[in-house]
Amino acid sequence: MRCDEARAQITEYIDGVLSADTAHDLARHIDSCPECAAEYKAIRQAVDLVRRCEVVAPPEEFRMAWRARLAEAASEAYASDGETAGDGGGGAGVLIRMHTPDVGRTASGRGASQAGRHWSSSRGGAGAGSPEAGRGLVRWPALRGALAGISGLASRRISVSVGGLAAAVLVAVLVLGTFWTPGWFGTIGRGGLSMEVAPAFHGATGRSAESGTLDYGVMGDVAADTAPGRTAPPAEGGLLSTEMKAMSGAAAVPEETVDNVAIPQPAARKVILDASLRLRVKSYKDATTRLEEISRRAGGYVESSVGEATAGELRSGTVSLRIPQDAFDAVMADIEALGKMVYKDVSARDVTEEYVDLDKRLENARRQEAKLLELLKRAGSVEDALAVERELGRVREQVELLTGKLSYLEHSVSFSSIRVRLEEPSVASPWPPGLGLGDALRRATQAFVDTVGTLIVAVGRLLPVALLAGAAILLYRRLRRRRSS
Amino acid sequence: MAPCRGVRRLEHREEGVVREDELVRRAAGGDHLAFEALVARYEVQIYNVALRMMGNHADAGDMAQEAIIQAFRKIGAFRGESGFGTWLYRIVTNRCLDELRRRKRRREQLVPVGSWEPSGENGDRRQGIDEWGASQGRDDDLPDGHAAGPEEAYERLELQELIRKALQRLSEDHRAVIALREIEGLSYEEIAEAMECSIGTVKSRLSRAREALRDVLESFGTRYGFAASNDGRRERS
Repeated sequence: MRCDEARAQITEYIDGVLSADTAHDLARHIDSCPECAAEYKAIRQAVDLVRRCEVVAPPEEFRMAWRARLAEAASEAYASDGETAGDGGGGAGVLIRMHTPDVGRTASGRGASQAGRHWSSSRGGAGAGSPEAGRGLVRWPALRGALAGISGLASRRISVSVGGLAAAVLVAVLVLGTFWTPGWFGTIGRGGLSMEVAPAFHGATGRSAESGTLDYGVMGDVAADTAPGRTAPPAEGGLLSTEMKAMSGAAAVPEETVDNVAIPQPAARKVILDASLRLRVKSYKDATTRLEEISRRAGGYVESSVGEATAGELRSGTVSLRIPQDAFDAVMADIEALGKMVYKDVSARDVTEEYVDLDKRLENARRQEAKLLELLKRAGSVEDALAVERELGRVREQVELLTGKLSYLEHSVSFSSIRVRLEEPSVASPWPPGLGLGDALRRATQAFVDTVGTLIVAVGRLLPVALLAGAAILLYRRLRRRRSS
Repeated sequence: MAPCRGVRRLEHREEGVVREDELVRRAAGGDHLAFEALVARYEVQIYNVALRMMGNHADAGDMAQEAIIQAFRKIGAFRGESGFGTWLYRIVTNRCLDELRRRKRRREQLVPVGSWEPSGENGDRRQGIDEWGASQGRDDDLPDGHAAGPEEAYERLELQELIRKALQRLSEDHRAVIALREIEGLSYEEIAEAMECSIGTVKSRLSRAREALRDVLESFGTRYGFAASNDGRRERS
């Protein structure tokens, strides 16, 4: 064996991975060649030295820090689940805001990637007349491409279908229409619609709104129900309806295809319904009593009730109800019948993903707990038992935390929350505040009355103090007079 | 030889709680608790590799953490061809190599070439004991079961410090291969996995790294003599 061959094999020789023959040859060479022997010895020593490097126990901060960062990264991953999982599409959202001339002329479109968190809501209110606000839950795959396009989500694989294109035109018409011809919406005091579109068609619920010229096209035609019996017929009317109809005819998923679309677990979707109402009622007291009745009859309960007194009488207040989700629509109708509605805001938040995720994590934690318990029984030494118990404590904490979150979510889903603001006409502030001289005069009068009222109150507040001060002064004078005499 | 090396074994054996492949499967499915349990089995090794590579606790902690998070994000891409431990070694090694190369580039830009070698022996040394040796001092029992007398503790510290400094003198690749082979005790195959190269490359790289290590230790001169004699003493006992 030559020296250069030998040197090349020293490393493998040290690690004992040479074949027996080669190792034997090398050993013989080293014995006979003092230079190679020195080389081998030096390397062997270096290796032996560095192998005495000791394992360092990671500092506690490190053990804690990476777990914390992992939890953080995991929650981020959950939040953007839709981006990493599935078809890579994710969801696209669009928010369209519209204001009529009274309020201001703006129209804006915004797209956002909110994959994994589907919610939708619609809001409506009116200055005059009885407003009909609506709520809608839109799941429309055809919209996805269009909306993603609008929002400039260029990084995303955009599937532009014919439907998607048509939907883009539709949205454009909505935005431009509002912007250029605000007169079209002249009858609406204030209206708005916001929706979020999920990649999969899960069905939609739609309800007419006064700004339902929009609802009509987007929601009305695609209304296929997740919860049977929740669909209300879309309201006809509105100047845009012709355009909308044409657009939706081209763009919407026709109802017969809805059956063909595979809807994953439609019945199991978890949606939190939430409503805020503002009513003008004849009598606050009667209305609260009626509200209690309504919620009791529906199997719900009054969460809180706060009354405000004006001139010694309770004349306005806010009542929060929790109503079983099944009874939501019926209860809403009952409540609306109590008085004249001024404002209505209904939102639906789809928490299915969150729910499934929590459920899965809870299941895992429980399984871990069971395994640890089993292990605890078999633990030989005290140290082992302690280690297992420590881990068990951590897992149990996790179980408790997850159980709590899950039951909260479950409760929020099964009991919709409705907040009702009740006002008697005497205390109701005009909404929206009007303009004009008559109104100014009325407000001036009101301000005058308010100021006088405030003064009277101030006098009342000061009276006891003034009496006390007066008594003290009298007493002081009498004392001084007595002393001087 | 090297009684202190018995502590690490690359692939953990069945630990009685959950099998590793089961944990890997669940972690790949997005279960971060499974992933946590999995990494917890390797946190000591990950940290030690980072420590050998970076040379101080602060950087080691940062790099090891980043590697763990990176592993979590990439777990879906883990195919199970190598062991999970090897895969983690790969990520942490690469993370450290990247960081070291980045720093080297930056320093070379800022400081004239040649002047960034370890600045002062003393300063370097003191920092070393603080940074790495200190935690050694905290360990009460020696890995080989000796009770630590003050002298022996000092010698141990001295030796650990010597190893640290020697490693810091090596190039990043050499340091990595030495850390994985001599300190973590990986096989050639595992190192090839971890460093994403062929076994042939591992052999030649290891061979060159050992020669470099020998040169560095020889350049330390007298202290190397101390270490060598210490070694001899230990073998006698």
